[in-house]
Amino acid sequence: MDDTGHSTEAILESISDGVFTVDRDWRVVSFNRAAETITGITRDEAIGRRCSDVFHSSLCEVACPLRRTLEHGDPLIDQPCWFVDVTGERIPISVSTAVLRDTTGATIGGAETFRDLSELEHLRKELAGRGQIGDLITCSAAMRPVLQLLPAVAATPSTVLIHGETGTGKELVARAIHGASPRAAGPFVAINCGAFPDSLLESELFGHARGAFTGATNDRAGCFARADGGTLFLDEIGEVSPALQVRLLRVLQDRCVVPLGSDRPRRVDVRILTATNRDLAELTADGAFRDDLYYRVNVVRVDLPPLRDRREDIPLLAEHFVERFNSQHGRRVTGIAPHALQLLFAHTWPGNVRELENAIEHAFVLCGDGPIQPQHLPRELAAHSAPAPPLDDDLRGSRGAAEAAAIRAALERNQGNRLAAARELGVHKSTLFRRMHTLGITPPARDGRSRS
Amino acid sequence: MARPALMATVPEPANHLAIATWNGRIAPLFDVARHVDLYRVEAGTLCPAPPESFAADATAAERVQRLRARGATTLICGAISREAALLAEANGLALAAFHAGESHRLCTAWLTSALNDPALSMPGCGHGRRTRRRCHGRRFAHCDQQRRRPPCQDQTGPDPTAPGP
Repeated sequence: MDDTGHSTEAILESISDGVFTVDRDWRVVSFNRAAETITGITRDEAIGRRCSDVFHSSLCEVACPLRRTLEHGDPLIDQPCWFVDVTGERIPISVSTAVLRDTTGATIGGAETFRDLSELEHLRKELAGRGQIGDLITCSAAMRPVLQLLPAVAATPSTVLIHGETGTGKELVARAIHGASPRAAGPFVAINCGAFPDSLLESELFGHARGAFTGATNDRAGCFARADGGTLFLDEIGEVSPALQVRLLRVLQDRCVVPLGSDRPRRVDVRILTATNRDLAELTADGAFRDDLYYRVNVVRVDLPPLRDRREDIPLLAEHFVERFNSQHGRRVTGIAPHALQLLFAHTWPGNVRELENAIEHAFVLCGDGPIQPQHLPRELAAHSAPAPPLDDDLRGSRGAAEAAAIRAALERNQGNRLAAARELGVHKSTLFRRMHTLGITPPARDGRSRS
Repeated sequence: MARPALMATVPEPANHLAIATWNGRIAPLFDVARHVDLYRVEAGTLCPAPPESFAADATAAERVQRLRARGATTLICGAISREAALLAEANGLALAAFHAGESHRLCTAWLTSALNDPALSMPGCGHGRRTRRRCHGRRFAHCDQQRRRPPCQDQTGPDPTAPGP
């Protein structure tokens, strides 16, 4: 290779845009380092393979830019599209193409460059709506799988099991699924199965006929009948007794309910969403929960992370609750003081978002119209708080602490693998390194990539 | 252990194999694939059934629902987004994803339980150290095979590499 060839190669290796070239048979001839990083496919794996097998983009089949360029000879610039990497993640990109010619001017193939727009897209979404679906408010990477899953889940009639600790917002997720589903115009009926004794729950779920028991002076429609054409949310499904589990299973299978004291089955068209904070698989193994009912409700599972795993949401949620209580109580609380926010960050939140909501409501009682100060917060927040990194006495410090918490959590979840952590956070790895340096986060001693 | 009957409103007329194709090869990306070949599985052979066509912007839910309505129990495809893969598996569609090559070779490989052949896989999944790290979870059954774990141990669906009855 001559000097020009070497310098071209060096340039291609140093740029942050992915570049690959193909021959006239659509086989990959070269694949630069950025292309390896963005696609997750090594050069050795890519070279010699068909470009569509390596770079499976949304345009390949219907509007391949490289094909258009080779057919018409015109380069294409910044075509927006997305591709799916080997983990199944959709990566937004922009693509540009050009014809490759030899020294005589004959076409020998094509070149495609692509730019990872994940970070831009993430920022755009953050500015547009902070990843809000329904009443779910989050900017956390830990919640991203949930947000990504919800539209698809909403589109199907499948039964869903929402699993999460108490106070994580299981009903909000259920309402979000209903709201985005084709049944959104129908009723949403929620019932907490753990709040009723067995006999009452049966009547609540299936309804009763007049005279079915003492005091049943009228026919009463149950939750299934009231949710007809809509969605029924069965919260704390793990608390249902074995006897009632049998009846529930039958209704889920037949989609027919028979009210207590009646012999007339009624067909219902209801989508079932369930939730629990218990490990249903374990309950099933222990015989406390029927395995056939478990498989019936665990068709699609949504796992909600606890608040301690998404601390970066704390300022956002706290701000949301302040706005809501201001509106409800006609107050003008201006926000949360940095030291109070520091306490919120340091708390372990066993009661999750509900506990945070209660803490802000508690503070509203004690504070005036200024910002919420540490002394306005419940006493246990200070008493049970884990040590927190010091915060500057300004907004930038608070934001930095939130960012640092998010980065540390992502690194921990990915066993120190910085590339994986960057992907999870939706930023480029160089951005992650820069932020780690700025925030004084020590890189893990061992990068997760080196694990066998 | 009984596999849950999913999407009760969808009939399952027969056991079908679905292959997303493009110009005689596996379509690069199932999420935007426009053509799916269907085969009725009968006594260890594949009998062609009318194919299914999709608009390029059909949602993953629409795709999965229509394939299930046609009786598809296994889907062989190229790349697939996590969202679509979850949806397929949640609706009882056994998934053999990230495959590449001519569709008739994939059919033969499926019938002879030879989908593990690296020549029939898309690059980047299932061979090296980097791949094992990336292809995690049970979402992609082909990755389970590569990790020498029997696919679908959790009974969520049939083994996508095993031929039908």
